Amino acid sequence: MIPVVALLAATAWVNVCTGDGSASRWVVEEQRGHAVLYSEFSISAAAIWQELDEVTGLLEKSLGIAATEERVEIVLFASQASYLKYLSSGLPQARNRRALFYKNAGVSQIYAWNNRSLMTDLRHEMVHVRVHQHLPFAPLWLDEGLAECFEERLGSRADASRRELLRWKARVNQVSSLRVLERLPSAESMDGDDYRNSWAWTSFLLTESDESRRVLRDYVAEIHRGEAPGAFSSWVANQNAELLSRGNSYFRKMPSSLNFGSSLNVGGPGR
Amino acid sequence: MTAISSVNRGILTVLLSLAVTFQAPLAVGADGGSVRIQDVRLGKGGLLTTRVVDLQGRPMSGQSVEVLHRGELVATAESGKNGLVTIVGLRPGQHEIVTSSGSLPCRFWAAETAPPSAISVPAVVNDASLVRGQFGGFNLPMLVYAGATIGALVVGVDAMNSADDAQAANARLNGEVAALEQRVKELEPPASP
Repeated sequence: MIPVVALLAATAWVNVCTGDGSASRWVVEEQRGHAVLYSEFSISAAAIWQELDEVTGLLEKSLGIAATEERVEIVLFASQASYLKYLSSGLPQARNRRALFYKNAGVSQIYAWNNRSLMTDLRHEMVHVRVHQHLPFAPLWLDEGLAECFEERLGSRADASRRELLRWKARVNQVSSLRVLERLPSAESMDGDDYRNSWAWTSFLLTESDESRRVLRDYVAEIHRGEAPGAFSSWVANQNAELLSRGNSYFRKMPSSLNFGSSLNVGGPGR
Repeated sequence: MTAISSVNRGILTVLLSLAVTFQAPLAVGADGGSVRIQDVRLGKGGLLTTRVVDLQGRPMSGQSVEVLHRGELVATAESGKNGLVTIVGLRPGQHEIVTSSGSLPCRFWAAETAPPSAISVPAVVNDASLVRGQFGGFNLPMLVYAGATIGALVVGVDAMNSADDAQAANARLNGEVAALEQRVKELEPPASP
């Protein structure tokens, strides 16, 4: 009997210490449309909705990637320790990632923890949510490239350190080709270079010219229709054989202000 | 009676504690949004051509594919090169194309009656769940790798800058030499006729 009482007392004490024994661990619980926010710490839900709405609008405007009525759950943790404790058994990928997007059975979930880059993380993961609501599948470089492009507000782009690094890498021909990125086996295998190169190629397609953006938009539309157009680098050869060859030149002179969100100038000049 | 309730509460506490310790991500609800039905145009003889792909859209060969009509199996096949599957003898109507880890609800149409939105080669994604992450978790190997990369880059950039500086200095010196040679020519007396 004494060991049982001791065990109960210990578990009760653990519950008190961790706060898990309370009615709910979530300080914030708010639903808006098809999205639900859970947070272990106090945070302005309105600010989060505003950021995520902006991302959703930019994706729709630039590439026609539209939100659907599928449910989205956003789960925020007060600390990295809490985040890892919660996810380590179910999603071990969390160990090396600041935030996670997980989709199963038509429900998208975003997991993140409170840090200085929280809004950036949420914008990044929201791009994955919208991409995978709109498309049945997405090439990894495009999925992560779009997330990297839209994770920061437009104003903060000017000082992006990765742009400077990219220019240097392009100068010594060290930017991976799209064919190399298309061979990446999984998101877990991506390192910082792969993320930056995915961002670079996606930026190139979004901003180099109306023509480059139209090609990317057509590719996205084909996947959305339910077909499998194959690798972009092969597919694009039938649309514009020399488009990708302009990539390295673009990277060397990449402009400091990238407008990812402008709508396509349909019927305008090609370049 | 009180003692029994107390024991029950204790057991419940232990179970809840275990549940907290071994918790999984939030359970998802059933309201995952409406299921999209893909319109598919059949070829002659009720020919279905479909392609099995992974979540990146890459073809998957050697995958078993079943076609169901109202839950009944009507055809099976295996994906070949480029993930392609062909099945003949199918009829128009609502069907489901099923792989080991995915499914695609479809409405088959004869070519002459298919709506404009119908496609000829639908893709079936052979994957049930998806995980993507924001790069930036921290561990020792990653920090060592990042440090080495930055170090190498700084050395490389410094070397390139040094090379650029040397080239500039060389060009400047060449210019000075040319100017001096010109000056010497001007100072030399003209040759006698």
